[in-house]
Amino acid sequence: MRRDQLEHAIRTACQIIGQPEVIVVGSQSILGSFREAELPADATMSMEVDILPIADDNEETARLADLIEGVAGEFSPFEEMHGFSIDGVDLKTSALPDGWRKRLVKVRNSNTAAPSGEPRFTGWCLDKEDLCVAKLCALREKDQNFVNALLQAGLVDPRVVVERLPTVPEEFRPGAERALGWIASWL
Amino acid sequence: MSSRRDVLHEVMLETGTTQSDLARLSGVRQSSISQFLSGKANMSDEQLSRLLACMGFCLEVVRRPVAPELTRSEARSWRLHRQLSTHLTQASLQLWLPRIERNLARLRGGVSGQPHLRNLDRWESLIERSDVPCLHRVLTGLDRESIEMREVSPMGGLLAQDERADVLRAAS
Repeated sequence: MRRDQLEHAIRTACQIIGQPEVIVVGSQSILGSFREAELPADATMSMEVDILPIADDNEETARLADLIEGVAGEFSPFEEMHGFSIDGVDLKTSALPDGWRKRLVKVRNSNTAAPSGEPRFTGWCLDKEDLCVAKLCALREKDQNFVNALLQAGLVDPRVVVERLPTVPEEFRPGAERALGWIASWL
Repeated sequence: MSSRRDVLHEVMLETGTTQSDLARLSGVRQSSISQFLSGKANMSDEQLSRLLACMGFCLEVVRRPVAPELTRSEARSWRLHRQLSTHLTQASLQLWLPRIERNLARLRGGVSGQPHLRNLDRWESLIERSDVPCLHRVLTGLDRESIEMREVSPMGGLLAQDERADVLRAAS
């Protein structure tokens, strides 16, 4: 997936739910920090962008996520036309460390704007080390490969990941413990 | 349910059987038993049953349906692919081929890393062989391999939009 496709996804998701900003979670949020050419080929990425709508509670977030899915999700005409899909997700999807909202990376430019140029929509991408925390708590093969590739390329700091892992919500702590074992060899 | 390792450990404790005793009784090397118990090696139900028999126990394996733990996205994708599976036959696969091949080419251009690339190879191989039974399994499977194959599915554009909308409504 390319940075311009991420920007397109941000614009589309905001237009679907009628809101000025959304949060990008999942692997593609790394494109908020690096362009695709800077990323190692081994960093596992699909052609799907995970978008977390911003709402007061998880029920409303889920409702907005369903709206996004309906228009631009898997098997949609949007996917057929543009070659990638937008997956609406809710807050239960990712294990995110304390303070992640304050570290979000802003993506807003002419490509995230409506065709008339206004408004310019905003995609808030996960900070690169917060993304690694979320991936490592899941620790599937694709997650390990993704983080491993970023670490090998020197694009993320393993010490920061280790500091943040213990601060994920309680239900993700067993995953965080496993992840601490996994990343120990990088310190 | 207890793991095989836990079951073996429990019976050895209950019967006061040491690793050396069990090795002599069963003919299985003590080092292998040690690896089973430490989790460094896996054992089959058949191997466990053989070891338990040496200590006077049988192995009972309970079969029961279990609801899988899927993310919202994985569950939705499974429902969509399951619906597509109801249309999959040798004849429909032939009709779908041009679309599937275009999708595979697009995915090859945009997807990176493992297991995605390996799963694209698997899709390609199943399609080339017109392996409809295996494709049904991938479209409906709830094992990790099927779930991950659907993350790079080349089946886009094949499900009618009204059917897709019905599936999404049922999922929400």
